[in-house]
Amino acid sequence: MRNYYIKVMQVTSLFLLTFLNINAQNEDRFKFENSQTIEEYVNTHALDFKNEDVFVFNDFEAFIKFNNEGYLAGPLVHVFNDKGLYLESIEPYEVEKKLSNFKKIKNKPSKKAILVDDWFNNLVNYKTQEPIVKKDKVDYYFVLNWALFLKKPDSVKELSKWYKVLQRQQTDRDENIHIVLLNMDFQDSWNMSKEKREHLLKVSNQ
Amino acid sequence: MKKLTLFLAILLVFINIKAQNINTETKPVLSFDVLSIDDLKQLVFSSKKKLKVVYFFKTGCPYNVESMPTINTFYKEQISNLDLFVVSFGNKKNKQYLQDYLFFKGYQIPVYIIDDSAIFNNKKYKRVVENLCDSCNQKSMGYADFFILDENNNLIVQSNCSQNLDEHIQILKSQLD
Repeated sequence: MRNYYIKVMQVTSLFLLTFLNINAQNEDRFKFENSQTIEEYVNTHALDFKNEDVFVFNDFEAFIKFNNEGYLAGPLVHVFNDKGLYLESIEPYEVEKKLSNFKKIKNKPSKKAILVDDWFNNLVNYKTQEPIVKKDKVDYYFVLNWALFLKKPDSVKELSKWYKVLQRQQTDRDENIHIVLLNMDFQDSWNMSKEKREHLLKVSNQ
Repeated sequence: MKKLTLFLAILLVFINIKAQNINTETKPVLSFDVLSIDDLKQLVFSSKKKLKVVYFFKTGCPYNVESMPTINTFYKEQISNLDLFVVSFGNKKNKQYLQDYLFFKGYQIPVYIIDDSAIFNNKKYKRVVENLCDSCNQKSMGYADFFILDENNNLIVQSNCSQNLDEHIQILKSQLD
């Protein structure tokens, strides 16, 4: 229990550092989401996401690990190479040149590059709760970060265009890639107690 | 007699293959080749379509950025009724950039890059208009403007830079009625 609260405090401080404009929002930024609220958001904003490509963290620990490693930001695109080694994160200003031409993507992973398995092992489909099935023998793995808590529907709409570009890479250019739309929101499916949920929301929305 | 028949048959097959090759070369679905103005002229003039639209495009032109989705949709709908020649300017270095830009946007249009290395004029489209359309008033045109030629390469109508996108589309659609 003590470890749990230490983790919560860690995540809180990182949230505050990462999203300094939290306090500018009147409405609570962070909420617990589920397949229904995610679908409502997707439909409201006419996001052309395939259900089978949308994944969430399978538990709170996975979320914290992801956050503490500094990846909880969006919308942006993370890229892994054919061996599953992390290459880079593509910022919005460079998606056009890199997603339309994979030769422009950084091709050498760093010595401390993480593996795509480290992420995929902690992801489940937002609807079925089934673990992700990693495609083998692909040239790249693309993970597109998005969330309702970003409160930037226009940016997520932009991300849906990036998703379409990657889909066209598969259909029009026969690129062998694996695309994951990673929703980073807190999930009802984590089955946290009422007390823990309230505490997490309180510290996150401060 | 048998030999003559055989010879004629081979000749017919050869002519047919050659005709097919010419047809393929003169109407690429997507072209990113860097051409000279003369090459473009030959390409446009050899098209047998009743409507040939020559449209000027520059990625940095805000009006082009605004109008391109509409032009792209229009072309997809009317692909059987007209030939579209989207004309851009640059060199081999720009080719990849333009290709990436069009792919990212999802545009499915035939683009021809005119090699501008020998054009010492900041209004490069003027040179194209002068060469392809004697009757056009090039002074009133800019990027995102177009002119339409008939099958005999005579001017049917041109747009001008004082018109908005709706007016441009109306001009295009009026030719298809």
